[in-house]
Amino acid sequence: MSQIPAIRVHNLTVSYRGKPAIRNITVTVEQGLRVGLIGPNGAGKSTLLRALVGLLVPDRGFVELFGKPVREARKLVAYVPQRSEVDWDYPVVAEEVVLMGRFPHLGWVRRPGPEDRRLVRECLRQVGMEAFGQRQIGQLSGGQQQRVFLARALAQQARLLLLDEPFVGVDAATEEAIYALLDRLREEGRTVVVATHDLSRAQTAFDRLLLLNQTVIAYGPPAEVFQPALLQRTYGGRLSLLEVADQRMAMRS
Amino acid sequence: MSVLDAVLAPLQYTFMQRALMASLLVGGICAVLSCFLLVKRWALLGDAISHAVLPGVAFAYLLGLPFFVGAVTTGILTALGISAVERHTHIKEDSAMGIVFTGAFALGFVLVSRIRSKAVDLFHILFGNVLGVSDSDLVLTAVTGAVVLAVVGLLYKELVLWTFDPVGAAAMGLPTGVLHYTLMFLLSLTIVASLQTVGIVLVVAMLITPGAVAFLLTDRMSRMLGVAVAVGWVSTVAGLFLSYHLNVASGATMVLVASVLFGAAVLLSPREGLVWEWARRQRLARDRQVEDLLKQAYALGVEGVAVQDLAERVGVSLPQVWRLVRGLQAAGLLHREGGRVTLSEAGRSRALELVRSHRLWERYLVDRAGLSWAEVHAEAERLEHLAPAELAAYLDEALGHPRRDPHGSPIPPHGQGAPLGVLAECAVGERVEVREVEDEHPEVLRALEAWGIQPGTQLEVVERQPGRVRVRWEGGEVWLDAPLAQAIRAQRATGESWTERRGSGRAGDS
Repeated sequence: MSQIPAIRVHNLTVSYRGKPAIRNITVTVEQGLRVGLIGPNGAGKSTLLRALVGLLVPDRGFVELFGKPVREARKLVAYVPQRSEVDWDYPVVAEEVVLMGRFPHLGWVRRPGPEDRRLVRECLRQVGMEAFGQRQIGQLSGGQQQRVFLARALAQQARLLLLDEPFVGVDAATEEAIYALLDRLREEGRTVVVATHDLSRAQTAFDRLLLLNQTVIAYGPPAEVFQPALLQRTYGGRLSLLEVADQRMAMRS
Repeated sequence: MSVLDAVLAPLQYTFMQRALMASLLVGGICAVLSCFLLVKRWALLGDAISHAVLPGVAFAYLLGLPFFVGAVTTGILTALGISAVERHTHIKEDSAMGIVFTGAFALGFVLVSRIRSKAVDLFHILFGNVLGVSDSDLVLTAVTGAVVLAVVGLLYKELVLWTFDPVGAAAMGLPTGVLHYTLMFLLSLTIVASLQTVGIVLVVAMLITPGAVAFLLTDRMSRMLGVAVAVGWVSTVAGLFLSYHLNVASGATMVLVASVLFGAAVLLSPREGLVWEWARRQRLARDRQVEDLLKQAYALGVEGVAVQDLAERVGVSLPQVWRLVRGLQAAGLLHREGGRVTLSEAGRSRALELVRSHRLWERYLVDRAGLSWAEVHAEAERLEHLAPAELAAYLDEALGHPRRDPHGSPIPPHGQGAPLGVLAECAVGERVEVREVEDEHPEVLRALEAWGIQPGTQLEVVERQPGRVRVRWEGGEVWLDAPLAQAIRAQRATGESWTERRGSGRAGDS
């Protein structure tokens, strides 16, 4: 395994709509790990993921992926946004959505070829959606939609996958499919970061947990990190934050 | 006058030939862009830019520049202005558009009213004058169209990704800002190129309606583009010829044709068409009546029911009930003699499934939903029609195989009314219950009577040989010759097979 960490975040502060959402994040994630990103709503999980793919510009600090700035590492990263961010009425079928994962590799103007289409079918098969390739995306269930977007991330053939709350509003079958996929990705040596609320599975499904509430509360193997005191600080942290944070933060809460 | 004449005769005139070319160009380009505007929800932006073109035309006249330059300039400035208002204030996109384009339009109006020149014919700018298209107009439209189609063609996959999932597109490194302004630029170009044909006010329709029609008819972007272009061409060309023959305004006629096509799509779209929706409801209502009729016929007994009584019980008119009865008769679910009907075995079986479904629903509503047993009948009456067999199996499982409904009536097991088989065709080892014996041959009946075999007797087939079947029953064992075995109609002893199947199913689960 390479010595270069998959993610290196240094002293990162990012504002969202003019207010700091995460501050002074410093964390290094080695390659080939499954990382669970845990924290309450508003803790900045999505902000951190978005900063990692360069969707948000940091106020301070920097992000490096595989030793490169984000801009140069685009082909190495696949990002699966929350389901609510897509127009589900769009006239597009599942296979075409997955095919979009090939675009970063194709570059401008060039159209996908038969090899890309073969890969797309393979990715759909990996998430158990091969029978739904010709279905308009809005006609799929929430779990199936999530799986199509996972297939798209797979089609990107990225070394780092960032999944923003993939378990929200999905059925049990999809949940199992996602966890199985995480295992398979680790076997392939890929790195995965998953924002999740599913504390019950967090201890077993991930190699590392990152407890986040605007700053990093803890980062490490689940056995070390999954402790009442730390979880209390992560989830109960809002109150203490209120006490210490400046007035602006208090107003927001 | 034939249709061919109606089309060919006007084309003797050069102005009509030019008008036809312009119509095809504008119809096609607008249609392509309309697809992207629809999915991007930019319909109003098209409206805004088209109105903002007016001051550009006026300025161009004052400065002695070609109209095209002025129009494109103000079109783009408007697009930028809207983005600026939206980005730097709390005002949302729709209001930002409303503010900017009405302002620009008013400015244009003021300028035009000041100029009062024949060169800037307000009416033509607003409503188009396709019959006055010049060769240079045509060239301009063709070049604009080529540019728009080339850009859309080259950036097709990027535009689709960005309009579908802007966040994902940005994460993949697509410069979404560039795409945003590219689309706005193409929109401005298209509007200006369409001015002469349909005019400012009506170009909006050509930028919305074809895409909307296609959206209703297809579920993927590539086909949507094709359908939209077809709609655009039909609207502009049909509109052109209609306006020629009816001697009415051409731009408005084109828009009217597009609107009619949209109306047709709303009614007939395979996914959301109101006509299909109506037909589906009719079918559901009819299915319900059929099922109610079967249930009532079953409840009223085996002796036969007067069709008139059925009409009353099901709550439909006499002609309606006759139609239903004829349908059921054709489907083999009931027999009719004069004005009376009896259920066939298949009909009886369907009716029993419904009774079962109804009583299981009642149990469910009382046990699980906590309703009073007094109020569940009406609900169950409605629910029993929902996929009776599968849902009933699920309910039965979920409720732990209840035997009686909340009112104490027995819940018939599944398959109770399975069609009868001829005993001669039963396999060895099968347990059956005698249900009917053909009464045409007295000797058969006498033989069976002697053995004590009658409707209700349980038989087991123990051996088969060509021409005869050996059966065992309480009273012993006997070989039944073919005529006897043919005369006995039997049914699988459902009580037993029901429990057996259930038992093996459980064994498979564990």
